[in-house]
Amino acid sequence: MDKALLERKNLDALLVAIRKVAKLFAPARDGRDGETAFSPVESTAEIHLEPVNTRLSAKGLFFPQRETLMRFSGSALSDVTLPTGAFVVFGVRPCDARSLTWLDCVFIGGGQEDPYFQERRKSAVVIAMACDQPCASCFCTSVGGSPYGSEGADLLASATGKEGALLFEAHSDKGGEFLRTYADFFAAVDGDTLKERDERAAAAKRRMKALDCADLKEKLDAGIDSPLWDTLTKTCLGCGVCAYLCPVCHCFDITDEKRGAEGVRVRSWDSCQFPRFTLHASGHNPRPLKKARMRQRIMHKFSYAVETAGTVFCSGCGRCVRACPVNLDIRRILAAFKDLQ
Amino acid sequence: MGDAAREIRRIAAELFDGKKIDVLIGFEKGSDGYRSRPVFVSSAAEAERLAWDATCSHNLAVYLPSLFRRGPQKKGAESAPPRVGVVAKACDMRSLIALAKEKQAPRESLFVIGVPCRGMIDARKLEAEVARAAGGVEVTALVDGEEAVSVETADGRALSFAREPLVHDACLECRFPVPRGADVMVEGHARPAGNNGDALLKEFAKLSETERWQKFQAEISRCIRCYACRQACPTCYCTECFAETNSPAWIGVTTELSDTMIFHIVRIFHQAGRCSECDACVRACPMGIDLRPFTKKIAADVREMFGFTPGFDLETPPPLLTFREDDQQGFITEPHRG
Amino acid sequence: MKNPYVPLPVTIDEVFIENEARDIKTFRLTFDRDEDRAGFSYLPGQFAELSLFGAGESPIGIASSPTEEGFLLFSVKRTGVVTGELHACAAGRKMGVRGPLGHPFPWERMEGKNLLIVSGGFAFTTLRSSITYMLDPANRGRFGKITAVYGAREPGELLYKKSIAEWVARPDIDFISTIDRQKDGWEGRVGLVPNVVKDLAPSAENTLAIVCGPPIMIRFTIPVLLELGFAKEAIILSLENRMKCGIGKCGRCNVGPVYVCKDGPVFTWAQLEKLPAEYY
Repeated sequence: MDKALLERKNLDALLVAIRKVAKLFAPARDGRDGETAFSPVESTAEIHLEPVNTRLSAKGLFFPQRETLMRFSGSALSDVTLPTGAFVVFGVRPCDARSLTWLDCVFIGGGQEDPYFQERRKSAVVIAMACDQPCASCFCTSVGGSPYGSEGADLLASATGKEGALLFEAHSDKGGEFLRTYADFFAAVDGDTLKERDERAAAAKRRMKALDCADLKEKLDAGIDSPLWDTLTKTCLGCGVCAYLCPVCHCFDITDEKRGAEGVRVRSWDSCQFPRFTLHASGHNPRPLKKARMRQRIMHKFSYAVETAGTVFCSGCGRCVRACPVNLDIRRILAAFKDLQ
Repeated sequence: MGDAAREIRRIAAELFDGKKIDVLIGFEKGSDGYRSRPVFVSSAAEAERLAWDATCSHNLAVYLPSLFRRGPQKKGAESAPPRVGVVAKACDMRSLIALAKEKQAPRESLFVIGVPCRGMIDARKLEAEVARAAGGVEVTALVDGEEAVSVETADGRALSFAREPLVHDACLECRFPVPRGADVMVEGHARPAGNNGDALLKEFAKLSETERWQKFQAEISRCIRCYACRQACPTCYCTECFAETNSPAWIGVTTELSDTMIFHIVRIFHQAGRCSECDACVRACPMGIDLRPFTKKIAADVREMFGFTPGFDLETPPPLLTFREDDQQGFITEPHRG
Repeated sequence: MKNPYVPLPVTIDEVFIENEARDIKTFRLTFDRDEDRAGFSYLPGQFAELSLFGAGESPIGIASSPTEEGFLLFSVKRTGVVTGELHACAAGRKMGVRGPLGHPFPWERMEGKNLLIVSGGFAFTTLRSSITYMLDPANRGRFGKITAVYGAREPGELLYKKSIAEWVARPDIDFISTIDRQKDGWEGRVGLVPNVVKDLAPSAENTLAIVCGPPIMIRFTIPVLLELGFAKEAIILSLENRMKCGIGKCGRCNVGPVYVCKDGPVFTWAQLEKLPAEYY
């Protein structure tokens, strides 16, 4: 695996070089409550890596909230333009990077490729940033991830102790290519740096409390009709915060908008938590009750995805825990079912 | 405050033991120690979970309309509505009164435990402070003192932060921190009444029409159409929201800015004369949108035009839900006045 | 890379009103481009997304059989925005078709078997496709005895009346239509579909049952079939669900680990029993 050291003094120059050929996205202050969001950045000064993750995940860079699929004029298709333009995403936490591989399963796997998503994935280099300060709401280690995880990352960067130098490790061909392209900015890595990195990774992991999620799928499957679904979800407001902030939730709507004869067919984020998500035109709704909708969310992430994609669809990023307006904590739901006899 | 929590639990247990209520909506401790969360309890034993401290920011009245919503009832064989206990701050109480007036929750079916409020703190601000001081750790204990909020972290640290800077802006401005019309009041003192966001309103009033529109647009452009504001609002209880009908489709479902702006304009205007300025919409928003200049402006306009402040009496109907012979017609005959 | 969201351009050739209530119309569509027509290869049971730019899309079962060359038939009930707009369209109107989508009926399994078709209301559409397909001289020999029970509330609500009259007269299919309650002028059978099936008591021996109808019909027909000795794997259903993308990505039709669009819409009763009760 290619590894290289980026000294702090070279970071700005590296970013300038990247921006000559690609758009650069990184967590920047979003002007409110000290929170951050993935934004186009021009210099290191704009980048803010906080212990608390970005408000919205990086999924919007690949699966935008509003995406024009095609244009029409009258009853005829007038334009289908796929997204273009190379970009680099820097500072994606391992939880968000891992989620990208699951979005790949949905949008690229399954026999029909989604060209809009595929084009963006092809055009991007994902540089993940390891976590040394996991938060109380983080639980990646409970779902098979880790603060130094590299799944979904083309490169994993981590902070060394040495005056702000960053260690870069390539985890894909694209990552290796990146290090070769920008070799001038990087220095060699010595054995000590690597040893420290392993120690830091272990320390970060130790800071986290892991939920034991073995047998979780079996317990959830067995408890499909449990009254727990009612009691645990009573306070849910039925908004879209959890699904929209989640790095892997991907349900979407397709609608037509027009003015006169000209219009667009657009896709937009949707959530299985909205009561009207499954509403038939006839008025029939297979999931009329809140408990059925929250059950769908949990089962999809922790049971159905395991069957269809071989993995849970939750990276433990904790956004839903922090942002849920009524603090419905997904970990409590999992714990309640784990303990079910 | 430990005393208020104990008192709430005691009253709740008594209500259940005396079979006076079927369910009670209150607060329990939330994730990682920083937050509280709403909870439904149905027995004296479950009432042990009830808590009360500086983080009880939510408006519990939001749960009432769906508890009382029932299908068509056969005359003479109507099922009895549930008897619901609810823990209420002053803002919750005012929303509750508004709902009772609009026949969404019969007052006689509610038992309200009123709690005087010292202002609730923003859990996000507290979490950020703790993260800055000690990294992202779990808080194992939170003590809401007079001047300071003290926390104990999972890694054994004791930290203390000044209380006022953590308090929600809306609570700093709150004019009515003591609930009126509760069935029983928990002992405790409230914060002194604020100035209703006078400065905020004055600043907004100074802006030209164009500047106000720009400010509104700038705020609303952050919106991701998650509808958390609408779902958290107690007086937003329509089972089919105008934003989601497709026949006719009043607005598009995406984050197209004009559609999003119309959603917020209509929602806020629909609250005129009903909004208790409880801040639930602002607190629910995951994108930190500050709706207060707009919600407060509407409430101020209603006060000025109709001399009405919602949420205090069960009799006076909200001005925009009433028609009087002497109502102003100026908006028809002189639409561009002012 | 093929873009699975782009509809193929088609033209409405003919519009036929199927029922007395005038809210079910059959649309005959022809492809504008030869290569699209050549490439649209389907089997009975599959569906397509009918696209009207400006209104949206609607997932509708294909009512024509692949043996009917040169056009596609879709029977659509006017229910919402898209179907409402479609009903306002006349011949000559251009629109779009995305498909074929989903899995067809299990034609390989059906080889050499007797078929019992049970249907009600306007769920009959993909069965028109299936019956037309099976009765085609090139195909008839592949299947055993074919029995069909098709019911509607009233005679006016039966679809494909002309085709039914032809089928009833044929010796190579036993076609029984029925209505819920006696109506003047109706000389055929009267009775709810599940009861008619019970009275008929068809043999389950080497037979597969295909059941397409409203949820209530299905709910009462399944026990009848099970009692007649049909195994759960031998009862085949086609589901409807709210859909958008039709290709298993948008999540809307997801029930348990399956997507009704991509993994269905055809499922056996054995498969459906394992799913959470959210498929209808």
